[in-house]
Amino acid sequence: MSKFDEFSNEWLTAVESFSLKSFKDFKEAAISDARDFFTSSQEDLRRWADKFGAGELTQRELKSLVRGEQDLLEMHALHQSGVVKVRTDMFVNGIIDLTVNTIIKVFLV
Amino acid sequence: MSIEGPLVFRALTNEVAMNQFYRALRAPLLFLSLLCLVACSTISPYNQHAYELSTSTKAEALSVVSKATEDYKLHAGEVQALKLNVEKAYEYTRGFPKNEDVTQMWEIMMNESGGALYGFLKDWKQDGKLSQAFVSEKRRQISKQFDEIIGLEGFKRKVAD
Repeated sequence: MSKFDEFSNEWLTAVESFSLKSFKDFKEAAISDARDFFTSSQEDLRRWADKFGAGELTQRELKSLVRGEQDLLEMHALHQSGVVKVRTDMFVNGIIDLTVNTIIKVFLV
Repeated sequence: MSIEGPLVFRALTNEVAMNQFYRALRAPLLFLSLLCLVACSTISPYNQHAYELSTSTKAEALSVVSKATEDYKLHAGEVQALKLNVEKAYEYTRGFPKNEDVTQMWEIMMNESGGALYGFLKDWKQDGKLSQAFVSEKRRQISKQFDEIIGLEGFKRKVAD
């Protein structure tokens, strides 16, 4: 087996294992985060509806809170977009490190 | 050409020359990987000052928001100081390339027609004072909105560590 074949096999195995772990972690974190966000949002809406019903909040105040919740949702989406970008950078950098380390291990050591 | 080709081939098949060739690859590979770390990034990296600006502005905003049950005129100066700090944080964040997500979050906070911080401050100014129930709920909501900004900066920090 040539050095390049040895490198290819080792690199592919490492990339596969690294990708599986990265995507699994990301998927689990994303699902858990979305669930937490919507549970919290639902609780807020229920509480405001109760306070509006009890006359503690005016219609204008309720409208402002719902508008604020829309803003919060938009900010949460931007937050998630940023997290995906950070994770993408982590993944790309991980692949670069892995490739360089495999080359050094197979060809240079 | 016909002489150089086989010569190069013979030299490369030689064990010593091969090792030299691979060793010569080390520096360009390391350079390439460093280059990729910079060029391949899709978001601005962690910045300590940006993180501190977001946390200190949150503390200041929540303190000012809590006072909205009182007359706006008594706190107009504090509102102006808060707005100045929000704008400083926004301008600082906006100055970094590939930082659109955080920049847009600050823009939402600063939208006077929206339901975030500036929208609240506008309502307070218009009405003079606001009800305790509304102020409490809005304070909680504005706190969560700030947490979205702080959370992203914090996530960058976690990764950088």
